[in-house]
Parts: sequence; structure tokens; C-alpha cells
Amino acid sequence: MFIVFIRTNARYTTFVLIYQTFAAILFNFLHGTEDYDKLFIFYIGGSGFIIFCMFYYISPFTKEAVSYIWAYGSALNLWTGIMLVFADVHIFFLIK
Amino acid sequence: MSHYIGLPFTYSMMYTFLKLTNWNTYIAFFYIFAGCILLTIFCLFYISYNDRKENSKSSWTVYICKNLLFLFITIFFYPILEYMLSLMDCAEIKGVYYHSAFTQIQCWTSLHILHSAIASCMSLIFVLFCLLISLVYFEAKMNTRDYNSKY
Repeated sequence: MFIVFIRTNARYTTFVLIYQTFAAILFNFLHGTEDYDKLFIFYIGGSGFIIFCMFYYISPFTKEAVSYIWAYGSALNLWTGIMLVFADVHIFFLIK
Repeated sequence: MSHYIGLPFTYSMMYTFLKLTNWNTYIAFFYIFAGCILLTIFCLFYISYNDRKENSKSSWTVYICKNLLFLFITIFFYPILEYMLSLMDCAEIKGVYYHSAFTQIQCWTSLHILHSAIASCMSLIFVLFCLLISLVYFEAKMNTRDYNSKY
């Protein structure tokens, strides 16, 4: 399990923890109402994009396998975020 | 279809399991998690205090501390944080606030205030502790055999 911790710096993984913290706060306290759901969806989309750029273009991991796993995970997160944003925008235009 | 695809991911969260039980079990697990966090913090203090006296790098406290820290900053970070914050997740029904998962529990009355206060303090401690450990607990050298790195 220790190969997971071999990396040049810990800034990016700490950013993921901060992202998860705000996601947990938003999900627990601001869900249910339409405006806050939009905020949550755009938060996931925006942060997912930043995290994907961090782990795909400037990966801190020196082990190639670990780097790939993080890149795939962040890509999945970004894809989910983009789908949520598209669904939200689509519903917005349907209502209009 | 999407419901069935998402189901395995939903069940990785502890909150999803434990909200199907009763309120007492839910609270008991909350205090177990809080105890684990406090145990890890005390272990860390104990190791740093013991390090001044003698070399304790191979003791059981280091083993427990490293494994708990590994779990906290990786797979258990979001589930534990969400679980602790969900204690304060209340919904308004006819002007009165009730807990979202346990609708018989009225929020911000009697023991719920105490649980919520402890939950908010523990969440803050947990987040700050994990951020600090995440920034410190990594190995910059490409030496996989150095298991005691950063300790």
C-alpha cells in the first residue's frame, strides 16, 4: 500500500480532500431546493475539471500505475459532473 | 436502469446502510467513528512523546496509527465526513424540523443538540487532521522499502 504515497508533492491529493469536504457539506445541507441543487451540480462539474487537469496533465505520482488509476478516477468524476451539468442545462431549456 | 448501475456505488457509503437501522444504532456508530478519530490523534501524540525518550518506530501504536491514517485519508474520508454531517441533516415538516432519515427525531431539541455539537466539532477536527496528514504523509523519494518514511 505504500507505493500509493510515493509522489513528488501532496498538494493535489489534499485538493481532492478539500473538494470532498465541500461536496459533503453541500450535499448534506443544501440539497432539496432547486437553486442549491444547481450550485452543487456546477460545483461537481467545475471541481471535476480542475481535478482531472491536475491528475492527467501534471500528475504528482512517480509510479505510472498509480498515476493511471488517479487519472481514470478523475476522468470518471469529470464525466459524471459533465453529464449532470448537461442534464441540468437541458431541463432548464425544457422548462423555458 | 441508472438506479441499478448506481446502487453499488451508493452502498459504499455508510450512511446509506445505517439509516436503514434505528436511531440508537446510528448514534452508536457515530460515536465509534468519533472514538477511532480520537484514538488516532492520541496515538500520534503518544508516538511523538515516546520518540523523545526511546526509539519506538516498530511498536504497535505506530502500526495502528499508520493503518488508521491510511484509511482516513483515502477511502474512509468522505463516508465518515458525510456520516457525521448527516446527523445535522434536518428537513422542515409543518414548521418543525425533523431528521431526514429518522423522521421521529425532532431536530435541535434535547439530546440532538448535544449530538450535533459533538458532530460539528468532530467534523472540523477530522477535516483539519486529515488535511494536515495528507500534506505530510507522503514519500518523495522513489524508495518503496522505506515503510517508516515520514515517521
